[in-house]
Amino acid sequence: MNKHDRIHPLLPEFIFGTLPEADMLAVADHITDCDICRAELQAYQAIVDDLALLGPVAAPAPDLEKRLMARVQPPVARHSITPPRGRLWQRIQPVWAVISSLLIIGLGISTLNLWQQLHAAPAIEPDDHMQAIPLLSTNKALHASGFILVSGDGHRGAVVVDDLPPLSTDQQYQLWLDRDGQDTSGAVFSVDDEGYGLSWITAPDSIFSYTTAGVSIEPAGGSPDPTGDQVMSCSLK
Amino acid sequence: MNYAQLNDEALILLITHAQPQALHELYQRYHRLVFSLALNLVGDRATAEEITIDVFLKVWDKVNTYQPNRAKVSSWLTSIARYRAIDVLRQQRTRLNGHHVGWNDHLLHLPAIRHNPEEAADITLRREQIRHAVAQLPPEQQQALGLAFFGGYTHREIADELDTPLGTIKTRIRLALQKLRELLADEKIG
Ligand SMILES: [Zn+2]
Repeated sequence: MNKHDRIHPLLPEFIFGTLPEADMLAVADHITDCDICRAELQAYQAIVDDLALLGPVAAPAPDLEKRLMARVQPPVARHSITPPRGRLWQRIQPVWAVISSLLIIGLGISTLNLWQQLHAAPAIEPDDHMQAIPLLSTNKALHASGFILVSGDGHRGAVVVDDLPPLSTDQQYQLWLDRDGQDTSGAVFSVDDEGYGLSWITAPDSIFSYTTAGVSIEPAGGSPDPTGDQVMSCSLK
Repeated sequence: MNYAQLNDEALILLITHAQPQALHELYQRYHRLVFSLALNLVGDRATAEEITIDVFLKVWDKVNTYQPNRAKVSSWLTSIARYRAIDVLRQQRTRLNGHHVGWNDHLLHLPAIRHNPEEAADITLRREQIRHAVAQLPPEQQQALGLAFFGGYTHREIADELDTPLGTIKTRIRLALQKLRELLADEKIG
């Protein structure tokens, strides 16, 4: 009955990649459903990833990059082999081009307009200094992923999220920018049935002048201060 | 367009947009890390170079499998490299009919830190932190962890080779990971 007790001791070997295949599958299966074991796995994973930094540093042959690039498929061929998946990456691809161009131009354009533009999105070079800052999900929304996209000068930005739980009509998500314990509202937004949402960020100061950003659940229209559960956060420093 | 100014996540977004220049920049940042890890695992330069190519090809072809909420980009790269290298190691061992390859070479290496001007400062710092943390582990935990990580040995193989009960090996590795987690969590905040 208590599957944790069986799965838990297998986590280190799961990360090392040395479990027999049947056990690998059992762990993989369990962690897709079990938040506790998945959180534990991620904590171990971070440590094991750091171990990679031990050991002598060496450089490969200088022509290795040439050999790599010779095997990189050109974009057109590649497009057809990309599997259609609902992940954030897939969805952000067209959004990225439009948002980055708008961040450069600085248009305060609505999300609706943005979506209309997506379909006619030309390939646009992003701003040199544009930053994509990953939002980390809290245990209130373990599967969520997202980014805050910020122009180089910090004065224009957007928040993009995926797999956030859809809310009832009397609630919305709100982005908070925190500095010295003072929270400023940056955006109020909803997500679609698949948990996908996108909003511009409006802030009185450069987004980089804040220390952290967080997303919480608030009454529809937003609150003057955060009142609900925090679902995502990131450091802006 | 200066890709060197973009952060890792922005480069990944550009790779989803099929921009080879972003892959070039990511390669510049991390090829030494990936190659060194592969070399430490497989002990052969030609194989380590093949693994390095595989890692960056996977980034290009399977960029959609990257989960930003689970791992940093650099961690994603090193975990792909490690799994590939362990595959290779295990194939080699099967071919050699159970003969262990370089058993003694797989202890955790704790090299003196030399500043590498071509490496990102945050990697150098993190390397120093992890080196410091590992040095605080008891020797038998360092040994078990090194064999599991750099050797790609199963806990059972480590137990047999060291003539130690399997439960003891499991405990050593678990305690080692827990201790490192505590030590590195402290340092991350500071
Ligand atoms: Zn569990």
